[in-house]
Amino acid sequence: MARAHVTTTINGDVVDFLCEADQTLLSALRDELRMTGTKEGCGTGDCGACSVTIDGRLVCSCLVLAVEVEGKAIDTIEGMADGENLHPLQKKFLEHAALQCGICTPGILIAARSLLERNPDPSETEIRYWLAGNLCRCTGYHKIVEAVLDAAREMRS
Amino acid sequence: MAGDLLGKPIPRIEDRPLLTGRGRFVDDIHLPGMVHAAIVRSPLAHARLRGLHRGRAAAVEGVVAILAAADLEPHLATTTLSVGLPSKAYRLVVDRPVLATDEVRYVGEPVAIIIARSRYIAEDAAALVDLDLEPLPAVSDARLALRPEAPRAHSGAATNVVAEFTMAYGDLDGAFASAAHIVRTSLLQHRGVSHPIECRGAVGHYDAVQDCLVLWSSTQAPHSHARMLVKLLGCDENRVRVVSPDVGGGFGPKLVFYQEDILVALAARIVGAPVKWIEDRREHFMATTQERDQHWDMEIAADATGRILGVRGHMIHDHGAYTARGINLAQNSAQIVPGVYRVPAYELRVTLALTNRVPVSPVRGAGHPQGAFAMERLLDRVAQELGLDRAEVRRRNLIPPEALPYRLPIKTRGGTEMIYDSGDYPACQAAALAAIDYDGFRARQATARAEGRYLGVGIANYMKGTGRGPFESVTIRVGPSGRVSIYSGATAIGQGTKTMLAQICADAIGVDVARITVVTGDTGTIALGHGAASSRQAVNAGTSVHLAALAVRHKLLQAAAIHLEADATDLEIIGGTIRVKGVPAMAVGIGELADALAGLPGYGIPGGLEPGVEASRHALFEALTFAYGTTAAEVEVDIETGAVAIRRYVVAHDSGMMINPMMVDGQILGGAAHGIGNALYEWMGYDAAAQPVTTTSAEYLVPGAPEIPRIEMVHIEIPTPHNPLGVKGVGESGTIPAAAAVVSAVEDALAPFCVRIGETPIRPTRILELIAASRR
Amino acid sequence: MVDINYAAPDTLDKAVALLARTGGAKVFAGGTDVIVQLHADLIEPELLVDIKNIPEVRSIAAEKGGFRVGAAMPAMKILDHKAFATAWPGVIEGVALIGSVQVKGRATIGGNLCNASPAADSVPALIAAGAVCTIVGPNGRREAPVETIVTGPGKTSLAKGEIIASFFFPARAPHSGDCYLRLTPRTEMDIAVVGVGVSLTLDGSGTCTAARVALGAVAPTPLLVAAAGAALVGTKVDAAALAKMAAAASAACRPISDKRGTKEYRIKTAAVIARRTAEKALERARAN
Repeated sequence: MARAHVTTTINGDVVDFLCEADQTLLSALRDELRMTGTKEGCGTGDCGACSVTIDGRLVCSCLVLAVEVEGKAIDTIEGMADGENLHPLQKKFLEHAALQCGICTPGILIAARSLLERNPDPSETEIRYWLAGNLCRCTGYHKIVEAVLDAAREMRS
Repeated sequence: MAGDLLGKPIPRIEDRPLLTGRGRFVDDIHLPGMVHAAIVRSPLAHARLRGLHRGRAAAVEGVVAILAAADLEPHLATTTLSVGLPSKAYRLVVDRPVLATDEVRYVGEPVAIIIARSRYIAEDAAALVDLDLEPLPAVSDARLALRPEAPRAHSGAATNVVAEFTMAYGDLDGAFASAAHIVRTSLLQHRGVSHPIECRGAVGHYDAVQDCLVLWSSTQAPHSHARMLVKLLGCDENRVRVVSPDVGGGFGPKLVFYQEDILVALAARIVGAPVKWIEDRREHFMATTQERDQHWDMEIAADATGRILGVRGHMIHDHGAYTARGINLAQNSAQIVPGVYRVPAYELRVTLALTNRVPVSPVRGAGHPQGAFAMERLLDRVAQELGLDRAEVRRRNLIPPEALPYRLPIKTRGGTEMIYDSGDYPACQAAALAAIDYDGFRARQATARAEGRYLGVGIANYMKGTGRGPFESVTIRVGPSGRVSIYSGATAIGQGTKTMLAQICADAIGVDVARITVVTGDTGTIALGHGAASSRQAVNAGTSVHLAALAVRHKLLQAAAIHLEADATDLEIIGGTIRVKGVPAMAVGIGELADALAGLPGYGIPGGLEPGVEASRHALFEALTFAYGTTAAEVEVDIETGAVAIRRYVVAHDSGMMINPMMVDGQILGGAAHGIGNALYEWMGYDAAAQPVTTTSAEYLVPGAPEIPRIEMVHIEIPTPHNPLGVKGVGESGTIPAAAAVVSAVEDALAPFCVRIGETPIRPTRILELIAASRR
Repeated sequence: MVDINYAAPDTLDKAVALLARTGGAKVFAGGTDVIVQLHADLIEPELLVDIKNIPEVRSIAAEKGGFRVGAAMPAMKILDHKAFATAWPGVIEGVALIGSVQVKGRATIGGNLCNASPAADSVPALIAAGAVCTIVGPNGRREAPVETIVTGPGKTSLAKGEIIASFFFPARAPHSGDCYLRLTPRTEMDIAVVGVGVSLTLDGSGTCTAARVALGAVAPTPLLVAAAGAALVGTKVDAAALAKMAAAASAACRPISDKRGTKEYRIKTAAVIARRTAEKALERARAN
């Protein structure tokens, strides 16, 4: 079967790639475009490691077909920092050691940014429920929640 | 400046790439011409393998090779993975074959490897390999396995008892004969899978230029992997290199050398192209080692005041279908039962049963949570029998600080004595009780009860022998660039190991952390290593770094003294510069010294010093250092649905002197979350035919952010005398007491129903059953 | 193995034509179930018909005093619709539990219904609400109440080539309230062991004039339990009426035992959750 041609915008850049009809966006990002910042943790939408946004909407890229993103705007972890300047969330994760192995971290950062765009002043409970789809086995979530609260505070001021 | 960094919460040096999507995990490695592997696995728990038909799979476009056992045999010096830690307790030798030949013994056991142009194609083709299997009766439960009429997990074996041993000391008969109270309890302890968010994976690459087979594996122990590869391939050590790249969490099972490690390495050589294999989540539940079930029948003898006189019992341990690590889990469980308490007499008989389930190996805590759970349940039973407060019963039995060092008449697996080296157990328990306001709890409970709400509090103490030796190798080298490099056999799997080592090194030498590069988990850079396990790296690698760094500092000062024509005692190291105290202009960079000590052809080394600025150390550790602590949990149980909510959770612990408190926090918090998962949610289910029934994260129930409460910590820092840093391990501390504390709290909440809980996890369905049974 | 094709038509007619023409065609909306099934080789469609480019299935609008919700609206967009959320808080509760934020960014109520899982979280709430599906197919349009769609695990009453285009939620009478509650081992990101949707209406004196009670995860299909609703009608929804309703809910259960809960557990807790759900719906009805 002929591979499909997809044109999309990733982190502000127009990107073209070829993919199979049943290939996931996660696979296209990692295997076709070699953007490996987005991680695979389960492939079934249970862990959130592959979180990206499509047209501003938070999704698991393992549950999106690459052919669907024609003409859409995708944001991934690679576009989060502005050059060497870290996003406030990244800065706070660093300060609080809100990551350990780091495999879930890109997905959690993308999810947390999406939360703060909707709600600049979330409560601890709101953060915990918003991140319910992002599993982390290392941190026990505590420092992640602290870092998001702290980043929200900084971004508001 | 030297001596000012230990105990500081400095940011982790690992984090910047991980935060920006530039981590390099095994699945992020891409090599030109790389092909992809999928594993054909047994769909049955036990069957005779009569044949394998590759026709349909071979016809798939893009398939490069299909390799079964017979295809690999000519390339292998041995076809089994002999990895079991030595012990006299074995009754059967059951090593895993590289690929199954005539019999498969667990669901997920590798039978063949498919190499294809893409992972999608390899996986599709794997599904098209037809296995000719004749089903055999499977053993799915360790207790049933021990019945004489039980089918054998390995056809033709005389027994399913893979190992048995007894751990004992003291006058047990006397203790039980004189006891005012004897209490019995039976426990079913389940622990589940490791579930790192990164599954396993490997990339094999035969480097023809170097004539070297390189294996990048998501492993906690690259050096033991390299030793296994040498043994399996029958080759020269120089022909094999194993690298552990960024590892997305280990938690125990990534310590094991797996079939896939040799399969990927060998396939790369056979097909002449780099081969990548990435485990998917379903495979993780089927084919990665796990901890599982232990069945305990225990009794405790106590005097009239609740003092322990003796503990005895029998434990059956599910070993799985093969020996993938050893009998260490059962040994750990057995030897830690007495824990922080004075137990004058003790005997535990242990039987390890083969089942047709994936082999077991350590998962964070490695048998210790079960040992702690057994002891803590017994103490709750004593409290109930005597009508005493549960904390008070514990307090009366804790080993007092003046009794330390305290020798437990039990030997570790290596034959060394268990000597509790340092600590204050009563103070730790008191700190946890104070933090959770234990004294105020009964009033909170009464108020809630009046509103129809059921609160409970539970406490549990734990003990963990940490820093298991024999050693961890370290070399520290200063280069002409002025950078300080640390090479270690320690392996970084997310705990902050690189930061920990850099911090110790910077503290000892006096250079900035930013000047240090840490290279871990690469057999190409250091000859020996043991890796991440047993809460050991801060003690073993940390001490080696400390000693090597002191030697490097000494060398730098010697060289600088010659260079600056000053007395070494008048010098100080600031950042990357050595200067005469009070005379900043009299200074030399450490890179400049390293350059001078690297020498020039025909010229002498300044001052006749030994060339180079480097030192290697392998600090040896025979004895363990014992970390301990107390967890207290307050829960609310919904008696109509059986739902449990944790309201408060406190961990008081002593892991000795903290190198980086922020990272110690992280270890405790993550470990506690894992233990809470074991207490309330996580269950790796199998049916009667030994088919796994929980093969997604959603079915298995890893706790998420809403389930895990805020965790309060009390750090107690009592240095161990066993190492110059005074550090004890902390990696597993949070996990060990969690289930014991939470279950105790649930039982306390349900006190009006006199419910007794002897199992983990304790889930809503079971709670309602227990309440209903108590009402009958 | 079959090669898969993908099409994204922009009208329902084109979608229906594609579905009718191709033997192994499957409707594709949020993809949260389909992609997982595809990669687990549980389904092998020749053609995926993505309906997300069809405006009619991607909108939400007021209609006849009620609302029409496109079947392929992502759950997060429904949750963000203030007027709908005010009118149907119970439906919102069901939709909010479909999965994580990420899953809800994609998952649709049409898909949640057509996947035909007995435990689908939005379905009991839709049934309690009395929502009606508009279905488009080779033979034109038809309407069907939500409770008639699922006929068994993974099975629906939709004919070949039919697509659910939208759901109509009727106008709300004064003093009406609805609620959806479920029981799961984890708080979030879990599959219901028991789910209950209740919608009820009171008259000016607080007497219940209409009530619908629907159960999920306790039978091969979501259930509309008429006897449970009837137990509330004509009462002040007092403790006795609630107990009778809960007993009727329990009696309707035909659950299985599985890894999430035993049969006995489901039957027992269905009554508890039904009572709690009705109490919450009542509180909302009284406040309206």
